[in-house]
Amino acid sequence: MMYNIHTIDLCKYFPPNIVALDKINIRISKFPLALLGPNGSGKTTFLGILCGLKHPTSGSLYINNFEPYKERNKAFGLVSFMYDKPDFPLRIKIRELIEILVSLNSDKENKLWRFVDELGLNDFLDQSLGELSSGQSQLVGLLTAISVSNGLVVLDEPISHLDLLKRNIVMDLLSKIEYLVFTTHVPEEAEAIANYIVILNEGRVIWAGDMSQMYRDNVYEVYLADSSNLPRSLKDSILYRFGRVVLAKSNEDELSKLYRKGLIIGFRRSGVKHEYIKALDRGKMVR
Amino acid sequence: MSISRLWTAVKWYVKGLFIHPLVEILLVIILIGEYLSLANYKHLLAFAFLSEYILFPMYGIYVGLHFTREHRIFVFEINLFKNLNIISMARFIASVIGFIPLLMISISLLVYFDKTSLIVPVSVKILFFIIVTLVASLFNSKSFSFMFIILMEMLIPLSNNVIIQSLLPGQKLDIILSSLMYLTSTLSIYVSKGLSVLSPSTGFLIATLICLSSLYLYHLLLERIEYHP
Repeated sequence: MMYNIHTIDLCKYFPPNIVALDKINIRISKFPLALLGPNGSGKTTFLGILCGLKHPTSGSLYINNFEPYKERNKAFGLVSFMYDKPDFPLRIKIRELIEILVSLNSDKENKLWRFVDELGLNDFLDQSLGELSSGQSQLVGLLTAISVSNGLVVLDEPISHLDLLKRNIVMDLLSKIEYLVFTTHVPEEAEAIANYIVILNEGRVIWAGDMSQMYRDNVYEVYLADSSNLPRSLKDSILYRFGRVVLAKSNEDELSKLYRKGLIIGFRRSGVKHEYIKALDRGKMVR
Repeated sequence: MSISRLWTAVKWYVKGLFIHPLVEILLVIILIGEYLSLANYKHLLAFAFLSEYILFPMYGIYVGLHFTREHRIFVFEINLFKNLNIISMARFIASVIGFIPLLMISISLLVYFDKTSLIVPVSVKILFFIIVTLVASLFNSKSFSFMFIILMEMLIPLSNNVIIQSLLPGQKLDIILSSLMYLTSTLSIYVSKGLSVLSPSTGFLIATLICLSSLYLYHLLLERIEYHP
């Protein structure tokens, strides 16, 4: 089954005067989809409406021509989700939870145990959910969302509590999910997994497009050898600067020369980060 | 609705309810308290007051708190069971199971001491506690749920007692107050005969209808409210 998501003037307000989503109009048929944005940009609210957990104040959101908040049980059957803030003060062991998942989804038992193995949960099977660390709880949440999915998988900040090793394993797993929607405020995470990115800020879509559009400008992330010594050839082409890392318009030949001279220690093509910062720019970044 | 899915959900909600040592201690205290009140006092007032203001609320708070959970847990459960009807029904069945020990102890003692007239009031009281438990489980705050349970199961019955005590000789509670009393202070109003314009059978019928209506309202709310994970 194929999925597409589209919204028509989607708005969500919280009293007394919080605008969580402000006239969102998007049409998405490419996945994995990343919703990128700073804290409070509306990502989680958008996910809530997508999963059928919240109602829009006005406007509509459709998954394949039905509105998930109007047909909630249909939405819950199609969409698997996991939210941030993993903390389950429940007196149930992971092993028991897995048995429940197996009894509810007997046709997916092999897939379930494969994910238990890949997520490294074998070492914690006899621990209760209430005793887990935030990272372990997040892995359990991921297990329940991705192992028994019937269609769309929706994840809110899926790797925010994981260490580097687990993060890489999970990112690799997530990149193989056909219909994935996830949120993040880290551009690199979006870049590693998504084929389509929507950038939100203050409840509005400020950029939306696929990965090929991200790389059309010749913008590079350049890592300076000495933060106080900026190469002359870069001075006029810097777009943004973050300490020893600068975003600059350049080309590979010029940057390779700087690298061989030892003036920079590396560079990479900037896709998501440039578009993200450009979209958020309100004059707060130092040139 | 799949029966096996429903049963799995019921087991999920009952999990951990009876294994905590506190519940065993509570049930022993209830058994001893009710036994002594029935054995040593001829008038049913002792049983009614002890059960209404102390024993039943203690157990009701314990069971109620077992079912309260913040929305982030509830969202986890929605993802697990994939159907709000199943969750609604499972919670109801699980809360009934939760109150069975209290019902069994009370009815057994009432039959033993031949005070079977109190079986209906006790049953209506426990039905009310089930409804309070279910409604409290909808709030997105354990503290708020706790306050709601304390209010409905302890504070309002205690306040009702003040009203009962302050009635003048010959004075009766009107229909609205009587209905409230039969709902929230079921045992006290029953044993304080003649204080209500409603007969016990009418009063219990009204209380039961209010409980059943609240059960339907609970189901509607669960299907319609927003969840904030």
